[in-house]
Amino acid sequence: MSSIAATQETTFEGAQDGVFVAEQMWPIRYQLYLVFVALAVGGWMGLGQALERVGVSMESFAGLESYYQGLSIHGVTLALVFTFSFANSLCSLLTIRGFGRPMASTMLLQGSFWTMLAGLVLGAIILLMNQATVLFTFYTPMEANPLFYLAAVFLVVSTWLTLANIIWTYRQWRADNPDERIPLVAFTTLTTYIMWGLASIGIAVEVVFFVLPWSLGIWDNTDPQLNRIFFWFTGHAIVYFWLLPAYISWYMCMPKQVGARLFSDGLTRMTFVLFLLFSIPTGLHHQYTDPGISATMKSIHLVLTFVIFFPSLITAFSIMAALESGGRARGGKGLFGWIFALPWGNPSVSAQLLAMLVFTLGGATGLINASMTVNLVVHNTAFIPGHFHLTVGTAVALTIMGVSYWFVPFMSGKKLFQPKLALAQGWLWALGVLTFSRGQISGGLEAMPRRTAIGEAAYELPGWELSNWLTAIGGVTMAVSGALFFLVIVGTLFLSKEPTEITEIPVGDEPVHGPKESWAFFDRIGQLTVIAVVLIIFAYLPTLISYLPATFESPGVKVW
Amino acid sequence: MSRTTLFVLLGIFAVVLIFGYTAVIPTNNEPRAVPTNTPGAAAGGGDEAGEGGDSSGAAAAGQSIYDAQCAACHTTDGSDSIGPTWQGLIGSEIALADGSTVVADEEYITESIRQPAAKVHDGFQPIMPVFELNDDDIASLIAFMQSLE
Repeated sequence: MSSIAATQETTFEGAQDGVFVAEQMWPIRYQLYLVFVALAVGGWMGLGQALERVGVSMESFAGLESYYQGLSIHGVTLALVFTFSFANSLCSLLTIRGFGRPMASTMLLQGSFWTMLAGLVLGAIILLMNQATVLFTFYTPMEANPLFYLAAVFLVVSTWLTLANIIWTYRQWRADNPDERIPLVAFTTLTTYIMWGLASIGIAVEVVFFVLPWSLGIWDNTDPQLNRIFFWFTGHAIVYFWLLPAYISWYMCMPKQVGARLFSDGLTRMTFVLFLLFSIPTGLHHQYTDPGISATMKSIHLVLTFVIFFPSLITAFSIMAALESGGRARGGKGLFGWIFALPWGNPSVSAQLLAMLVFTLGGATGLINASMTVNLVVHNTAFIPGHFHLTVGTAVALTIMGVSYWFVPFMSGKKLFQPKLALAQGWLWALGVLTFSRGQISGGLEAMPRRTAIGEAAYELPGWELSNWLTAIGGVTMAVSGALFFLVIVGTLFLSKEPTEITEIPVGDEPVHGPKESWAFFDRIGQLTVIAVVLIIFAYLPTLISYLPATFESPGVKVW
Repeated sequence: MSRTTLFVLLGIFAVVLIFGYTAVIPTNNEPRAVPTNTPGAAAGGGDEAGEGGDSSGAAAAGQSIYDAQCAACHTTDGSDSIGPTWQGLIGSEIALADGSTVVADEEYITESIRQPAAKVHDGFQPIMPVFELNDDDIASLIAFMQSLE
């Protein structure tokens, strides 16, 4: 009995009959396909940027007007669409799986897909028309076509619809189960989306109250610095909205995939609660060099940024414990033997293991960025993209690819096409990004600016040539890996004849230390949200008060 | 995946990770071909130009300053970029944003470098930053502009 093809029928006959309803499964499935569309477009631009380092202009590579147009497309499609649509897709599915009931609203689920599609199409049109070459950060006073900001609104609203749906589903479940612990997998999706709901307030305020009216001509001038404060309110927490779906896979699926059990229910809940509380009051560490913000507030955000590193250390422990027990259960012996006993031949597992290994370096470079004095050395240099291609560009992106190797078969009912190609894909990506980021990091330490067409730069400093070549070689390797990924996905969807064996979502059994040993307060979602809001007020109200009054004196500029 | 393959792949990964991120690769640390600050540019340019008064030497010094500090916004091939092109600029009559006109003589060029917002070229955004160049550097830049025919 195939679980999967049933998405075309009235019910989804998987592990839990009646839970996976066809009209809810197609928006999840098609939102997953938007992940791949965004990856294809953004990845193509990424290849162009890598080649730009060694003399291939973006104009000749992709027929664009400038390097910066390609960079804007790269950032928006990957940082917003690729990550958001994956989070919506996976978290909706796991919420259904976790609560053991369909999502509360089919309309919200489908609305989430349509708004994501609308945002992607509208954004792509405006970007391709060269009307929004303002990069993913859209710093004012650079002024894009208002439709670009409207596209960003669509993308964020799509995630809000999913947030509303997850909360609604939770409340329905709670009404039926007043005394039970929130199922762990649903707890992770719920806290992730509540965190993002709070985090996205900054970008919503910036766009709705400042940037959109200004770009529509209702206001002549804007205050770039105030806009930046609101942008980074969201702009750092957004990285956890990219990362947490990957963590959800690592916590909830990887133990099952390696034949182990998660170590602790309580530690897992605590990790996600810490992300809910501390992801947002950290944004000023992106603004260490900005004027108008007191050093005291910057220092507070610095400390809180180090606090938010703590749940990642817990994650390293928890995941490593699960992997070790899985490796030992599979016959691994000695201090390190369990590592080699892991199912490296499973492309979904192997890609995610490599994503974790690369992430260690991503975390280390992130601490460098967060340290105020060291940050001054690397601020706005190529070091930063070197760092975030190790984190979002690999820990998240390679995990998304690894998850896709079960997710696509699960949703399509087709067996994974050419698993060996999928295996090679993961390794190529990991080796490619290590090379790429080595180039960017060393370039940054040699004062190479970020967000800059280095191939056309008016000057070159010693060390940049090596940096450029490593960046280009690494970037091309990642692009080859990306091409293999699409070959596998397209092959699975269109060429694979056999039905898949994956008929269940690989969510693990109860952890070794189950919910009975876990602190009940972790499930007080409402109270935890209030604490998160208080922390945000503590971190941002003094910042805003000391900054005000705003100075709306900058006219819009178009520098492209 | 065989254990040997896994060992090899993990080995490559470890080598790239450890040596790639710790190895110090010597780079050419000779004095930079292009000056990064103005006094250095003036000194270097002065040496190249000999004892002064050599217009081609001054133009070469001006080009060094141009490459380092001006080329991001001004072209020398006649095409406008973020700022107006320098080809044919010196001595030409240009329209200003306020509707008046001015001859782009040495006085105007000097003012535009030190107070870019004073007289903005029509058709361009008033976004040029102030460059506090000394008189010798400006003279070199003007010599370089004059060499662009």
